[in-house]
Amino acid sequence: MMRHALLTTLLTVALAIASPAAAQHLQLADLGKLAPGALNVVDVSVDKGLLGLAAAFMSDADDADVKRLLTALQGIYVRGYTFGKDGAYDGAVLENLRQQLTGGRWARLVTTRSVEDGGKELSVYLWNAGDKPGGLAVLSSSPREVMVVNIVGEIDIAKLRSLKGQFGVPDFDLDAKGAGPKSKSKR
Amino acid sequence: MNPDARLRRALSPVDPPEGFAQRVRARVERESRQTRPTASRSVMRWMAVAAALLFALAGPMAWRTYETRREALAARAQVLLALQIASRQLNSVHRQVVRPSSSPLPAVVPGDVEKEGRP
Repeated sequence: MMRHALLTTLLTVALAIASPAAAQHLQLADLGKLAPGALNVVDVSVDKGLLGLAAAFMSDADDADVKRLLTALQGIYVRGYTFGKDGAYDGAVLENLRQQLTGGRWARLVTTRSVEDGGKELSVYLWNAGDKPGGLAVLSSSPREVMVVNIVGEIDIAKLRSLKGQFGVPDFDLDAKGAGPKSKSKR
Repeated sequence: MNPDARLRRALSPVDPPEGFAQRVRARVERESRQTRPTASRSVMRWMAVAAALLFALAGPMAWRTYETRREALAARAQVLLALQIASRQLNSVHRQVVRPSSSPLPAVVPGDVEKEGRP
């Protein structure tokens, strides 16, 4: 009996050590409930394996900054939903997410609310892992849009910000009022 | 000599030279031996088999390489889209927090900085 308990404890500790990034990885499954009523959906899930694969196919000349950024990451997860009218979604689904972000080493860095942007509320959370953030979560919600970004791994925020406009992908007009992401991406 | 006699003489049977039949048989045998499959034909056949085998093995490998490349390019597009969205969100926060100055994001310290947007 004692041996069994010891083995269980050891196994739990081993699993915790083997997956240190698990806590930074938010459970986003609840957000899937928003998809049926949404006009546009962005659903990106890139784990470490796919990040490595993607990095291998990035050119050193054009994507050098992105490649450097990806080396320390464990995963990138994005969920975005845009609706045709105000209040078309149940805000309660975001509560589960906020609950997850109140525990562990998550710390809210900033929250902004903008009347100009139709009451858009934007919060940035960082996973405190010593010198550098071990993860990032961005929650953006407005009456017509929900966007959640979860980056797992050591992230350089200044570098991430500076990447804007450097990508070799079409420019998604995400900032435009009332216009959600023009891409419907699903994995 | 009248034409009739000349014709009869021209068509009169003549015995073949001695050994003619043997020479004909020998030649027929020699030529039939030459038409049998040679070593070069055998090599050609094996080369065809090898080519078919190579195609059968290399085909799936080439397909796998193509699939991997396709997956990688899809992953690359997903990563770039995700980073673009994250970058835009952070820049949006940055614009609201530091507007109109251009100082960098606040230091990474747990806490709240809230700002109401102006109508």
